[in-house]
Amino acid sequence: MFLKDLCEINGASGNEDRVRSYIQEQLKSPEEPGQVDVLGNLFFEKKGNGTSDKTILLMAHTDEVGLMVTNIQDDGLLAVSPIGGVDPRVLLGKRVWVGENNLPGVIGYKAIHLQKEDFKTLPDWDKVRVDIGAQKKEEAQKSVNLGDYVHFYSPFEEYENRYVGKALDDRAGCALLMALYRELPVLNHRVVFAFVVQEEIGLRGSGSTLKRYKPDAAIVVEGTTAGDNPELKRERWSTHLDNGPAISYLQSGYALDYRLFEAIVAFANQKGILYQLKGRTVGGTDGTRLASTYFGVPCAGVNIPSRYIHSPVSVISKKDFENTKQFIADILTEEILLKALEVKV
Amino acid sequence: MDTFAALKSLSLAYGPPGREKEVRGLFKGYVNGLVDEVFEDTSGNLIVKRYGQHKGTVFFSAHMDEVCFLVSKVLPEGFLRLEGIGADVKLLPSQKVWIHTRSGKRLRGVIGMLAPHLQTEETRKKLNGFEDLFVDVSMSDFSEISVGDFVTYDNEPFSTGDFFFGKSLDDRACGVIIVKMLERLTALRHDFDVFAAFSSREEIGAFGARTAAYALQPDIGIALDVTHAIDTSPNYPKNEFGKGPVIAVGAIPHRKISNLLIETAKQNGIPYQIEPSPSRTGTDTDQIQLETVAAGVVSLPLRYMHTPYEQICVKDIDETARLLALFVSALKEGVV
Repeated sequence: MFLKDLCEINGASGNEDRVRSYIQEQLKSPEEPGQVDVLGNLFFEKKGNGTSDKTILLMAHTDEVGLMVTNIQDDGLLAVSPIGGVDPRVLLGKRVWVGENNLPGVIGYKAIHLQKEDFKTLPDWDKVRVDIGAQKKEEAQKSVNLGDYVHFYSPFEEYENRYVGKALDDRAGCALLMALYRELPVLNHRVVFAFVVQEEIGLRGSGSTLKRYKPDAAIVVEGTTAGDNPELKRERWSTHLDNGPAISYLQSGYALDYRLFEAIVAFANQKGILYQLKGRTVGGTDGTRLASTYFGVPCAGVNIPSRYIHSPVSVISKKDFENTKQFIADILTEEILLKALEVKV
Repeated sequence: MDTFAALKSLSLAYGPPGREKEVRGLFKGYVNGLVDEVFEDTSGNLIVKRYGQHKGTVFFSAHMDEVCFLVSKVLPEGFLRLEGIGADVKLLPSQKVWIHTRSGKRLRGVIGMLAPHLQTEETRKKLNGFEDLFVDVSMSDFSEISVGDFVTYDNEPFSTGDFFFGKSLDDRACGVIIVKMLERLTALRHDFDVFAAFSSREEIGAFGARTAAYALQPDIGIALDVTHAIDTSPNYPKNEFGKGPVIAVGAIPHRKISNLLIETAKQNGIPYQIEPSPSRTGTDTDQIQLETVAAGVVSLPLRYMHTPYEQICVKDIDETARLLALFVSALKEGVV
């Protein structure tokens, strides 16, 4: 299963090689072996039948948040810093993978019995230490180097209605694109599937796609924040699991193209598709980069609602995943984006 | 017994205070062939007896129970609120857990945490308490979950080098020491009869050890428990990994017992460490002594106590078992 495999592969920003290789291995054919650019982005092209010279871009990012070893202490413990947005509170007492060889380690924490004033203090990065069982610096240095990546250890689980695992942001998007690449018939126009690097550290990979393919419009697919936690009032939720694909209208750095947005919403209404509008504007996506690079590509966001992202365990709804996939397939087949862009700004 | 395999099974087993059946079953298997009598008492202790020459009795206890949580409320849409015994709430966000329903089902849950994107300046600084934390059980049919169901950590123990990481090594790793001591005793002569309790309900007050000590009335009683490794407090010695068992000296451990343990270690070249214990030890021994027993405590260094990944050094298990077997075999009539 694509999603399970993708979530269990480790690939924090800048270390996406294994994710990319997996996707390429699974999708490649003699006609389309896939293209990799110098940054590590991977592209698969599905040519049109010749009746249209337009190109639609689908995009998901291959990287995940993680940690990097920034110091090896005299006592053998490893200090780490976050790669992307990681809250230190989700790390304590968790198991991790250290380095290229996936050395097991634990983010240990002082026993409750030994805590004094620190019992009431917020754990910060100065307290997050990875223990690989080394008792001295020299011992740790045998198997760990400064700059080694540290990834969450989190076996993927499948339930009747849910998927649970790390990195659903955005391996859920990657798995969805992979499935669409396999399942979509040949359309009138070209479709480019872009699996891009380094989203989590500032949308760094996606821009290069535009130079290569000059798409007319794009859909970015993200495992996006849910926030439907009991502590938040309903009106502060971002999205809600099981309520269908989440369409975004404004996000950090970009108001998504209103023509595409309106057309997608109208299409969903017309077809009677269960969907939701993303209730919060927090978080950027590669859409921001696409809209602000080179000539600026009109961009839409159709997302899979995900709980507890950027932590070792995130949760999505199986139904949402399937519905989002089908919805995007229908948008492409019925050329909703291209029709919308025929309207002049 | 394969120590690593046993530690793994024991770490994964379910056994909050008073619910130690699974752990009891495992130990029953491990002591098979090493003892003359095995029985379970009404407190939930697993008691074993290995007879020597009936010149006296020495008793060991190691507790089977683990720290845990309880469901305090079931919210609609598949969220639970929790209460806890003995665990640090700070370690719970993004922790996977098992919910053990009264009907005997084991369901998975995830302690959710608001993504950084949705945090505010205020929530970023907030120390979560049980009033904030919740378990997401929306992935399971949660209709059978009810208030009072036990909740335990769901994680995967592992070993690296001489170290083993996992939950509930406090105090099941000491249960392994008892088994390994019994293995060694099969090759040694011992005058004393050896009793041992894999005890229940230590984490809420050492009830199990008390009732076992009452029933058995031993001459000598030694609790095997874990102690903090690499505590950086300047007021206590740093118990280190790989440096052998930690022998308690102080008010509750009987001087003769502590001395005899130290002597045995010295004579046999077993490394050992000393832990001063001015008042209560926080182990089963505090209860065992009350039955007018010459008490002792031998501890296994453990780091990250009560967290999902406690750490121990497997070499320390072997050295402690060796010390205890030799200690038992050195006991002579009238020693206390």
